[in-house]
Amino acid sequence: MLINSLTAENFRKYHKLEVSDIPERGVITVSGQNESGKTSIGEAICFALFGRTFTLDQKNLHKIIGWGRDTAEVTLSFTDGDGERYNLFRALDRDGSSQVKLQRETAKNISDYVQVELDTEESIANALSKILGFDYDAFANSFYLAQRELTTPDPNSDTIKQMAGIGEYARILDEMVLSNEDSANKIAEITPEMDSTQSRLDDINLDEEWLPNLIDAELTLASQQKNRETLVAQLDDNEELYADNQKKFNSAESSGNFFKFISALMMLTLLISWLIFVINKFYPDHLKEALADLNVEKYISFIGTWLLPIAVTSTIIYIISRILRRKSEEKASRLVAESEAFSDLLREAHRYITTEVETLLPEQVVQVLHQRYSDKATLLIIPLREKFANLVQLIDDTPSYTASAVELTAAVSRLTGTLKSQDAEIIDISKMLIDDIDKEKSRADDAGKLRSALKVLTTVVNKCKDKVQVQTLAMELLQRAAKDSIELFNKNIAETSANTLPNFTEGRYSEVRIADDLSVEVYSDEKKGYMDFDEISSGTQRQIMLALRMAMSEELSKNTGNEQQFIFLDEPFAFFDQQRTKSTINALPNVSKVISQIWIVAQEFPLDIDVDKAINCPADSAELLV
Amino acid sequence: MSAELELRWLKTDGVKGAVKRFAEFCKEDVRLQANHEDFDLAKYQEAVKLVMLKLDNSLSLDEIFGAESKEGAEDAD
Repeated sequence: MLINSLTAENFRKYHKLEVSDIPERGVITVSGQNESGKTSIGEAICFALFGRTFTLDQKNLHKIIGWGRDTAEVTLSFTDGDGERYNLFRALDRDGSSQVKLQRETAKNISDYVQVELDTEESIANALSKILGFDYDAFANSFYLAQRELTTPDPNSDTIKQMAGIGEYARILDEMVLSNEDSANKIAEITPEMDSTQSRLDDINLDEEWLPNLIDAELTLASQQKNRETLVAQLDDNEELYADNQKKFNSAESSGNFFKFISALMMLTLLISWLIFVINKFYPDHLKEALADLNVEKYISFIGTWLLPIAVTSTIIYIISRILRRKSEEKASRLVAESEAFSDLLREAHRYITTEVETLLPEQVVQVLHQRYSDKATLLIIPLREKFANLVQLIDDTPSYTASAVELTAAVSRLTGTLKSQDAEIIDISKMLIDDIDKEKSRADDAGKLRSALKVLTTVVNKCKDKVQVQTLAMELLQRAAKDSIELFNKNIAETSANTLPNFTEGRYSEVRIADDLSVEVYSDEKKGYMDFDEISSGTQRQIMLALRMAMSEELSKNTGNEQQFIFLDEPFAFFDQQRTKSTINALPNVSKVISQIWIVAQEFPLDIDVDKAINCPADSAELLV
Repeated sequence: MSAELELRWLKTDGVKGAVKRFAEFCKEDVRLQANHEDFDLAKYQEAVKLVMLKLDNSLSLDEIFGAESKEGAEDAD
């Protein structure tokens, strides 16, 4: 960050302050007697950037307002590390209200700037944090070095962390430590709940196959029961029909046999009649001779008169008897089909009553039912074999209607009775299974709810564990990155200081060694060895410390993306003699490529030094325009 | 595996400050960590992404100036 210009009104002693044409590189001296307003220039820069000064906190900030004035205003124009230009305006009233504006000048081309402006405290603070990359403390410890600050900073301070480029790492590490603690607490909080839920789930001890088996068994029994009811109804209907059908069948069979006989007789008659008729028609002589041989020539006239009517009549009777015979056979056949169906029903009923119901049910259900009905063979109901001894024969005889209707009626009665008694017990078992199913469903619902709750809790715990694992990895990564940055920081500081020291100390000291605790040892070319910092003179200590602090400031600049940075040195030479002051000022422009714009405040400067801009603060005027 | 160890998705251009330093460090560090038996690249990448997210979780300057920039540019046209 480089300062382009600074203007202020009613700030401290200045009614009007205007510093412009500030060079990007080089030494800018600010000189003047006591109370001439030298430090006010640095304070104006600090106020513009951070809304405070080095000496005045928020409570006393109103003291920046010039005597007898109501409002102090400062406008700072600067360029950031990316070359973007900004104008920062800040004002403060005596009643404590402040105003701040930040303009960014976006270059469309060299001569044309577009200005965009922010005017809320929050957005400007946010933008400045991004633009500068450092906070007030880091600024006050790095880029505004007063004589009193020329010591090593606290190695644990936020400033040194920002200088070493690990300020953000430290912030994130702190966040992650807290976050991991939160996650660990959450896991510790949830774990007992998970254990309790798991315990309740274990208590339920749900067998995943039990409910499906129960439902399967209940459906099987329901189907059995329904089939048996249907069977009983069909048996009753068919049993009533059988006797009636048996009569019809016998009648149809008799009719069939009668018409079969008639049709055979008529067939013979019509064949003979038609044969004689044909012979008489075409060979009458031969017929007469034949009849004469048989001594029945007296029937010649009968044949001539009646043979044709007989032939026609026998043909008609034959056709009618064939039709009636067919009808009788069809009727008998239909009745046989009905009796076969009845026979199948009887066979089905026999199968039902002789099938052990338990063979149709899941093994697990059967075992439980056996335990409940240890003294009853409900599921093994099979009637006495003797009770249905003749049933198979009856079933075989039924299709041909040779089974006795009376015996069949008795057999059907026994069958339906057995089926009904078995049904009654099946219904009892079904009711019990339905109760079991309801209970098991309720248990399954409870287990399901517990499982869902356990799943949610497990998911939360696993997420916490994953988060802790990743954050622990991230923390280790950050610690390694921080260690790497600190090593690089110390190395860079040692190298930069080594370049600077000979210039500042006229070649007497050339190397510094910095420990992790930031303690400093200096290599003396004269004594050919490292010396403790305390062994050297206070003037040299301050030269060395100035070199060290500038090196640290350079690191902060680089670590915050500011490749060009101003520094404000307020009375850095208070303990320097003229020669040291001169050699140090001459060395400063070449100390760092990054710390390029160097503001130095002193009461007076040696005459034979090269400066790029000299600002002389008047003791007797409230205006400074340079 | 070696291509994955380059962490190509981790950009070091167009970023600065802590984000850039951390990204550069990770590109070196991942190769060293990969020598450990229990190294898990997926978890490592997840950790890197988490830190990068936390390092760069604030709005960019362009986002901060956002709409004003566009309006300003249109006015200038």
